[in-house]
Amino acid sequence: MFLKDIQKKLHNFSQAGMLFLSLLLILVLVNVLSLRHFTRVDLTQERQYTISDISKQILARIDDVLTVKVYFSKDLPPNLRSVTQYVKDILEEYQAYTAQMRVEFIDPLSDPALQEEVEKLGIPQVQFNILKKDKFEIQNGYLGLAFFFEGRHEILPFVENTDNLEYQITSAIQKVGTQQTKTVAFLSGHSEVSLYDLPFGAEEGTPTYIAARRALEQNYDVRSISVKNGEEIVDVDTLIIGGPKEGLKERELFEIDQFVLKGGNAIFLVDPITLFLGIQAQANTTNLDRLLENLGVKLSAALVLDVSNETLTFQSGFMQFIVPYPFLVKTVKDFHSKEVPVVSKIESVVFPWVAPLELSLKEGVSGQILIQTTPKAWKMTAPYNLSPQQDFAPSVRAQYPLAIFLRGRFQSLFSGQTPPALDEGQESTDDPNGRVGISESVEESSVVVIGDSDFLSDRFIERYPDNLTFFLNLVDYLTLDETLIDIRAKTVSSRPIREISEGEKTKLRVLNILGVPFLVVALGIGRYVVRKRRK
Amino acid sequence: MAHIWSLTKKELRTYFHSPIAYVVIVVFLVVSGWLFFRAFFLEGQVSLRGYFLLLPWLFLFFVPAITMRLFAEEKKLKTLEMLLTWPVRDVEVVLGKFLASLLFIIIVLLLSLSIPFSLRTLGNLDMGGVAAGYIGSIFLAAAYLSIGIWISSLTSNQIVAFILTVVASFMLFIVGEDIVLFVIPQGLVPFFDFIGLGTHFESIMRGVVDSRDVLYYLSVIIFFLFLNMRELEKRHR
Repeated sequence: MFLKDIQKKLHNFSQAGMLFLSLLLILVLVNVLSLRHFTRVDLTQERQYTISDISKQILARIDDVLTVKVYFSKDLPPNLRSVTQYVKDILEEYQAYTAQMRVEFIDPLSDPALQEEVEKLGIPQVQFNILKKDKFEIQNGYLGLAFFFEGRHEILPFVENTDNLEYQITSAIQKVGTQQTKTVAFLSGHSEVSLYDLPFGAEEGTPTYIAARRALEQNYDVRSISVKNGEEIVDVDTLIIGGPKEGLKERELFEIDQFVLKGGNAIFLVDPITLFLGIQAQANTTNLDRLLENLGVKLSAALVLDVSNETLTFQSGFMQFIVPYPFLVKTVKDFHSKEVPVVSKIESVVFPWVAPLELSLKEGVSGQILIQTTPKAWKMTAPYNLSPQQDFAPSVRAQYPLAIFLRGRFQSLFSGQTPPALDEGQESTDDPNGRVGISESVEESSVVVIGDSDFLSDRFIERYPDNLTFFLNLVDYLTLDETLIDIRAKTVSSRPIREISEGEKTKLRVLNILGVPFLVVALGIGRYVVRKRRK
Repeated sequence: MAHIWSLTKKELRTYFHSPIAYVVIVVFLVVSGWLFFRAFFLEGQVSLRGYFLLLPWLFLFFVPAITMRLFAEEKKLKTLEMLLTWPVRDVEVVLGKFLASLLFIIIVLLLSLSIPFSLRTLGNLDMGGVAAGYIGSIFLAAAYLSIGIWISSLTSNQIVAFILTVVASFMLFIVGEDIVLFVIPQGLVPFFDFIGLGTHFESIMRGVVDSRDVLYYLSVIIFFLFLNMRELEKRHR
């Protein structure tokens, strides 16, 4: 019957329809579920697209829209083009872990209004050499990133290589996501290393920490502070004593001592000698050795020399010599602490004219030797001969610590005493402000001691960039969430095509574009012929 | 299982008897190779990225060329009815044809391996990235194939099958691309982006295998193979 036919058809249709709909529903459901529960496997050689767990965690915590503006200009030299691609890729990786991140690519050169926006953010215009029609031309461009979140913003002014990009991006995101910025302060008043350009007339060769300051400013509030007038150190997370050349007063030692006891972190970069007239050495007296020994590190008045060293270029008359210079101690990764990520991933640090340290742990404090020399190092005491042409004949060789890390609760150097008077020589009476010194740490803090301050200066960072990475890692380790440290030190290599002639290029093209297809055709014809013969 | 395999073998053998198979392979290799090398030396980086970027577009035309005859021809030559009377299940028929065309694509991709091996002589090629790219390409191709085979079962005219497949694949691809995403209302963007065939190729092309992308491609394949089976079922009634 006709009706029964339709009924049957409808029945079949609806049955099949149900099956179809349920399958569709299942597929959609499975895919939607997978949006939250998924895994990503990075098969690339350097795991260059894998973001560390810390970054993922930070991304998961973002609860509002995060906008990332990539200010890259279009015309870039070839070595920077791979940077552009990598930035695009890694930001996509970030986006895979949070739906709140928006990424925009903007070329500031395309619109003067955009250029103004960019300059206001603090992203500088940079100059490149670009090869155009067989001529090198100077071109202006931009390679900066800006992160915007809830009215705040953070910038990465110049992304020239991808080495620490994940760290920089995650730090910027964390910084813009939280309202707190940590403060790093440099002590001043004792001819410490300057954070800024030297005034006209300064002695040539005087070290500066300009690069270090700039790098630190990316993540911290960087300040210079003085405690000459007995000011209490407040609102500082990490204090850096960078290469003082004059003695500290008792009161100043007291302030630093109290700062550490209140939970502040400190990094001491103390030189054993001061250089003058190029290659003459004078012992450096800062009075810090008492303070440091009380914390747990003995600083010797000596220089360390090592077989693992860098070379020195110097002139004698008309000749230029490049000789190995044992005073430029070059550390080897094998002798870096394996437990502390700060140094375990750094290949090598170069310390110029560094003092050996000795760990003398106090109760309640744990210590780690971060970096030490090879077992074949030796010491030199006063009088110091820094000439590269001397006959080094060490009698005693040993391994010496160069950087020590302490953490715990410390005892005051001034326990039981009233705070020292502001002026030396005065009787220390009860402090007019009613300040009482604490004798023991109220909370745990970290202290790092290194017997050298030059390794961080601009002159040496230029030649040995790992020195800066090491220092920045150190500051971060003490100051920030220490888990952030594992993100650092991931290098992405560029994979350039090696130099080959035009002829070789053509050969390659022919082989792939024509050669293989030719084989296929030959195979086809061969099979055809064989089949024909069989018939 | 054995049925599927013998169907696959039969399908492949038939295909390779005709010169069309060789023409398709040759044209694909020549076009893809030529396009790749054009940009390669200018980029200056030893990477197969440029090649994988081409594939979604190349597959758009080459896959329909492979799938157009799979069912359409049989319907034209009236061999489909005969096939369906054999003691084989519909699912085996569909899977047989699917696997045959997938194997064909795999053969073509294997032949293209001359490129990464040539590149290795020029510098440090990231083989992990290359492996991921090829895995992704197989999934992408399989997705296109499943669409193509289904459409082929809807008509007896190969040309119609070809054109319809190109259009359908194109639409499913373009829906997730920026061109479309820019003009649709903001709320629909995540949905459209997810549906796009190209979107799920992005990560894997870089070397990162994401389970969501794999799941997506498997879903597309299962969906269209299912539709295909339903189409065959109709023939029984």
